[in-house]
Amino acid sequence: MKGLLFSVDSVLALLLLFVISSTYLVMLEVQEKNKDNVLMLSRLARDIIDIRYYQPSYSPPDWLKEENCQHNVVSLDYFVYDSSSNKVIKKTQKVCFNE
Amino acid sequence: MKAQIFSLDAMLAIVALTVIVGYFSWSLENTLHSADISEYESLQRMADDWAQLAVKRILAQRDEPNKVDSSRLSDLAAQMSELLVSPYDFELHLGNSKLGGDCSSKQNVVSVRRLVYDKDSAEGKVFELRLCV
Repeated sequence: MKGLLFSVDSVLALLLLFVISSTYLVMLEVQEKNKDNVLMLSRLARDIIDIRYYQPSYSPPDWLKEENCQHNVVSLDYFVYDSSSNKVIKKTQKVCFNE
Repeated sequence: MKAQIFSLDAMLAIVALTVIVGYFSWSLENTLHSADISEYESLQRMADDWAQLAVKRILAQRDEPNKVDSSRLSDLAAQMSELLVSPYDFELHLGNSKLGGDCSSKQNVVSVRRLVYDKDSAEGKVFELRLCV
């Protein structure tokens, strides 16, 4: 079956090509964005750990969450010294953006 | 000659078109955009370095990282002004205070936000460093 310029199957093939290449490009962009977010969230998680060392009641701003994180979550393991038990304790700091 | 879904000539045309478009996009990206991307990445790294130095050393004592002394902001701004000459510019934000130049009219702007504890007001604040070119 012929259209004005291309046959229907070539138009379908072109559409298929555009869909595949667009999906690939979107996936690449999402991957890059996630990489940036991981670095940023790791820094913020470390900031929370450092501040809580001398200010245990510190709570981060509203745009950050430490619990109920669904996606784009960074989890950082760290060690603290507990003087009462004379032991080193392993803790985990989770952080994600409050979207 | 008919293939299962598409005709052979249509498939060949698509493959040829993909190769041509792909090659031109690739060379265009290399020649036109690589400079912008590397500039953005380099700006991002610089901003991250400065923010890290600021919250761990320049604004805070070594044994109390992120506990910032806001009076040291001007010292940080002075050091940045000395090292980041034109066409670079920067902005420093701590709560409502702002130091440095103006990035609003610049095209390439990167921003790094860090969590700090302000020694003077005894509260948590957000320190933001914007670097632009």
